[in-house]
Amino acid sequence: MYKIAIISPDPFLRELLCNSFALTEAEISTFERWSDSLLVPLSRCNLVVSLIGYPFLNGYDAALRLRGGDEATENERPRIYVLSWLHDEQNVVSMLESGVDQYFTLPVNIPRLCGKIAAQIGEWRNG
Amino acid sequence: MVDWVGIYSVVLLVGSILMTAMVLVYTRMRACRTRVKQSLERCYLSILNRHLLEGGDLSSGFPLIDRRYSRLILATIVARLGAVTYGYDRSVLAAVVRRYALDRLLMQQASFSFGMRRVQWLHTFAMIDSAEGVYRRTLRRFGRSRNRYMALCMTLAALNHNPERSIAILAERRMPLSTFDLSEVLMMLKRGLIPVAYQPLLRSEYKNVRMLGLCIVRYFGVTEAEDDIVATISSSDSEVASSALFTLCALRLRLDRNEVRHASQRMNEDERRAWYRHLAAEGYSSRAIAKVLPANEQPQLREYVEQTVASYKRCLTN
Repeated sequence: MYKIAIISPDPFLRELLCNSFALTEAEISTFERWSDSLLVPLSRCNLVVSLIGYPFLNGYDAALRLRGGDEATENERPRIYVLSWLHDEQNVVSMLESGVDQYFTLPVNIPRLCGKIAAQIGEWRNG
Repeated sequence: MVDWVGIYSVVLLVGSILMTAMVLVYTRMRACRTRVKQSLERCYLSILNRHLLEGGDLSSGFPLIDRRYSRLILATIVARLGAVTYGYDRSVLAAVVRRYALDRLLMQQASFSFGMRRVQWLHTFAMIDSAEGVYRRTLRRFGRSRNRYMALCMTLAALNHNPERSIAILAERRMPLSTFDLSEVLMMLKRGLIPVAYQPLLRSEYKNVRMLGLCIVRYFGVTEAEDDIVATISSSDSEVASSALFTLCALRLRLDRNEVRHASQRMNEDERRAWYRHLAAEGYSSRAIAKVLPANEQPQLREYVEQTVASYKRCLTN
């Protein structure tokens, strides 16, 4: 079963995403905030959906740490989606350059987001 | 002889025990209430979101919904769901509001509350689709408030209720829109509630409408609006002209124009300093900024430009 992790300090958004992703038949775990101790459980997930963007921007290199450096193979690396209210190009480009796979600005289209995740899971299933 | 010290000690001891017990009971009740609230929130969000994603009927309804407290929680969930998402069928949310009379409940709750709690309930009211009668009554009750937060809530409610009249609503608004107000309006626009046509907004004679137009252009990075922005820089309203100038910089468009030079000469020292800081943050090079500095600019401000540009590690725009 594929694993999805949701990181959000806002309980409403966390619950909303958890509830929506439950339809994709994946195992979902939720976390309130980023910390070093989360790196190991998060790196075992197939997809990390973060509503906090700063670990990707402040030099912490969250994406690199999550993917276990350069040794991990392409299939072992968790995909990273970031949802944020930040919309300016500089921030979006910086996040994508620092290893984020998809960036969505809030307010978000939930059916579209679920569709993307379902398509991603289908891609993994078909190898 | 009566031992007053002993009596006082006993009274104090009993009082402190009673106080501690009351605090403990209150804390437990509060914790219990919070737990119930969280459970209801989770439950209502789950029911509503599943219904929006998968369809089906809502006839089974929401548990414990006959209580006023539960209906307030449902109203908050409907409003927040509408605020952070788009693309959902709005008629479903509107049907839930009608079925449980959430709009009337929120109006009553706002009437009973005071201060920021009232603003909070009105803001929730502004985010839901209310019935015509309830909307009119709320507008009559709170529409003339001079409190800027309540005025904003009523503007948002009007925009939500009559999106096709958005330009007229903003034009009729007496108070100018602050940056915070504009961001709230922009959020509605981003959810697809208000049409995005920047040209009529930028060319409007009303200040609030022009400010919203500039905000839209800045937010969506509409560089095609360059001519309209440059024309707005010469506006007689200093706030609109300043906003147009900052919008031009935010889009990283060419600064070397007479309108920009004239605008920089009109600014006082503090405004120029803020503008130079903004230019540096947007990535303009000191050479590009030098072209629009007034000829008699103070040496310390010239030095300030050099230092601020050097402090940003960015690809510079010439």
